Amino acid sequence: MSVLTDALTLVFQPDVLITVILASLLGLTIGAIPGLTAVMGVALLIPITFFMDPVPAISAIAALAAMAIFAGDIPGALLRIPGTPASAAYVQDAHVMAKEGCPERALGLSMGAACFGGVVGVILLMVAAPLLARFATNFSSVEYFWLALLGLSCAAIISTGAPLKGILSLLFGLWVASIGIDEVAGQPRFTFGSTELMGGVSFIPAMIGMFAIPEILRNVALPQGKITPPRMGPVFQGLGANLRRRRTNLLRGSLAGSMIGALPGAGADIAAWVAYAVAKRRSKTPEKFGHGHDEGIVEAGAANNGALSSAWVPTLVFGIPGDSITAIVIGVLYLKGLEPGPIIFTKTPELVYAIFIAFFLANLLLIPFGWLIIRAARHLLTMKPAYYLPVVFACCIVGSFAINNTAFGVVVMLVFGLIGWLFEENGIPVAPAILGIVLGGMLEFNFVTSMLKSDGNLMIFVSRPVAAALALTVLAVWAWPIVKHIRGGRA
Amino acid sequence: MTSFKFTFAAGLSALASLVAAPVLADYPERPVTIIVPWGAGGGTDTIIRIFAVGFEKEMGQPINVINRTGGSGVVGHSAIANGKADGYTLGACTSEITYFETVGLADITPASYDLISRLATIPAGVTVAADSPYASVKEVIDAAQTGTLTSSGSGLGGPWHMAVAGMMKSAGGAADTVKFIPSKGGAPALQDLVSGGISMFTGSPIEARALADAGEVKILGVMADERSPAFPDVPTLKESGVDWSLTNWFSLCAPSGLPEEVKAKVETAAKAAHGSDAVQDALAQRGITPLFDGSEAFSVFADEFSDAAKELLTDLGIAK
Repeated sequence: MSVLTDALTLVFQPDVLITVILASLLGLTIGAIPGLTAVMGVALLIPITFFMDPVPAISAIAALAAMAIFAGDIPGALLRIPGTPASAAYVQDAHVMAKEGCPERALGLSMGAACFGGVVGVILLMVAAPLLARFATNFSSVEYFWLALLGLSCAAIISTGAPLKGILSLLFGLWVASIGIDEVAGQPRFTFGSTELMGGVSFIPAMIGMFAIPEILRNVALPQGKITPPRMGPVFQGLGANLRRRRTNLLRGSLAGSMIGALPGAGADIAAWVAYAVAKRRSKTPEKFGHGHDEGIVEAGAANNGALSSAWVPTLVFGIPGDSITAIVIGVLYLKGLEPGPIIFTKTPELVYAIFIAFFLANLLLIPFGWLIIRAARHLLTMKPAYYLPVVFACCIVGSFAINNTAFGVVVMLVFGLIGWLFEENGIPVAPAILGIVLGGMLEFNFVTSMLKSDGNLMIFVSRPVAAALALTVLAVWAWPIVKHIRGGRA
Repeated sequence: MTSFKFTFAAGLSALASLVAAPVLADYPERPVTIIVPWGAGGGTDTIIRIFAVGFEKEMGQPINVINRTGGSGVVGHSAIANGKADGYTLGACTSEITYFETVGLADITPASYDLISRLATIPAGVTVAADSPYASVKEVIDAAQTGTLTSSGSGLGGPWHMAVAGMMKSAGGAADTVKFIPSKGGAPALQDLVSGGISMFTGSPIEARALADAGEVKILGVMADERSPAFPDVPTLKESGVDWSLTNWFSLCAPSGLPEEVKAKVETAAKAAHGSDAVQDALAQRGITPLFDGSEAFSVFADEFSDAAKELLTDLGIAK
């Protein structure tokens, strides 16, 4: 119990609470502005967290992400522009509902669902992560190799819906990960004699570039017309009753979202799509979906916030990110000297629990803060990009410089920003590339060390039971598009 | 014209005074940066940050600790070596400077720096998983003679690789009797140890302490000349009949060519800061052995360490 009290004292400090509140407000603002995503918000927050202690830093990220994912529903409902990809699944329903004169009902529902889903996700995180960590102490380099491969495969093949483009993006990420000194043999690769490149492509500037610059370029390229958001009614009226009526959706969405989020390489976006599809299939009135129906909003709205929390399970336990946000978090954990992995649960359990508590707090804050932002949404939506984009760009430059105190970071940020823009313009998903950069080194390192242990015998990869089971799962993921193709061909 | 001449002359003399006047008279008159080539929160970073608190008081100027990581330490160590030798850029050199050149990673040797002093040492050790059949260092060494054991703790050719190589050599075997599996630091290596992926961890017992307290691993021996105050019950290798010790070290260094007065000032301030109770206590609390040997002794030591490392790395076939 002392661990929990330690954790509570770590979180309930004035500076931590103020950080959480500020990060929440920032998250709401970023999510509510169309075109600024939760991932981008987190990427821009990193340089600031750089100067904080681990607990406020991680709490700030958790709070910002939870708020931004919810607030992404606001431009979705009012303008039919999903603020974050995770709100895209049910944007049609929410928008129709708003057009029919009840935007407050759509937003109230997604706020309630987000809070509930988030809390379920945190509970799953609190229960599952330590248990899984106990189990994961038995994982050696072989199991880690398969886990990394599983995360990459899920991200490239299943999450994107376009396996070929996903794999292309992934391969780019893996190539970037190979730049620098190879950590086993000490051989520099693709460094062209540059000392800076010997350390590899610094990951956080690359992320900031890939997520923020394309948004800026797109906003510059496509001038937006005048926006007139509708008026709001009282948010809380009838909300409780509405949610109770859809409690099956609420519960199913939260659980499904939490479980999908806990898979390595699958995050809030995919959770929302799956939950929406499930809601439609199990509904008594599937024909109403897409025409302002509430079931999909509740189920998918709960699922994306549930997934957001549970994505931290593989992140903390294995060091394998569940989605793009946790991919950034891994970078922060390393910066703070908290190497993710089962050992963190034995070494600094109070920090892990402090992270859980911060998550809980962030999700509970959704209700009061969510209400505030819904009231303020009109003003945020009419803000001109010319006001906030330069600020975002300035943050990108300062942030990528601050990580390693070199101008090289800024160059990396700009180059990857351009690459990210080219990716997005051609419909190539960015997330697999990011996971490739994060997991590429881990994949290779665990492969090579396993081969060293076995003197080059490949059987080591399937000789342990857990490793064999993971190997089969990876094969199943690979077989997925082929099976789908054959089935499609027959139909 | 007069005013121009005047300005020009004044400017010239100002410039001249900048060049000629000892910058050093009032050194330090602005904040000093210490570059750490390893990640925040790691061993080197912890030691330097503890030291920096005391150093700041002695120097009377803010000390900025900056982490420049990557490339197995090459990036940060290059940044220190290429820094301006004016006393405003200092660094935290680690044992890697003695063998970067030997393993062909970078043209960096102890001569690339003005070595100020070692600040702390951490001994290597022998740690096995709790369910391991071995109960003493001797049993581990006997079992290792079959050539089936593996060890980990750092990168190939890193300090903890040399630790196990030296141990086996001193016990009469070949340096590479124990196969070394590279790892990205202590934590992942210990994780692999607990999961049964490797047979022993030859990194520092300090890194293994949390897991030893949790009953996951057993610390069998420490590769120091004397028992560590942090682990009074753990015997040294010498007690177990193997004449071998290896302590990894962490130092304060500067780009080479530091002006004598500046160097003297840094060394005096560093010595006073290092000797303060606050620094000594904070280091001891973490099981780190504080040490201040000063510029001369450290330079001699670094050369000896360099030669010893070269010999071991040649035995291991890693030297290029």
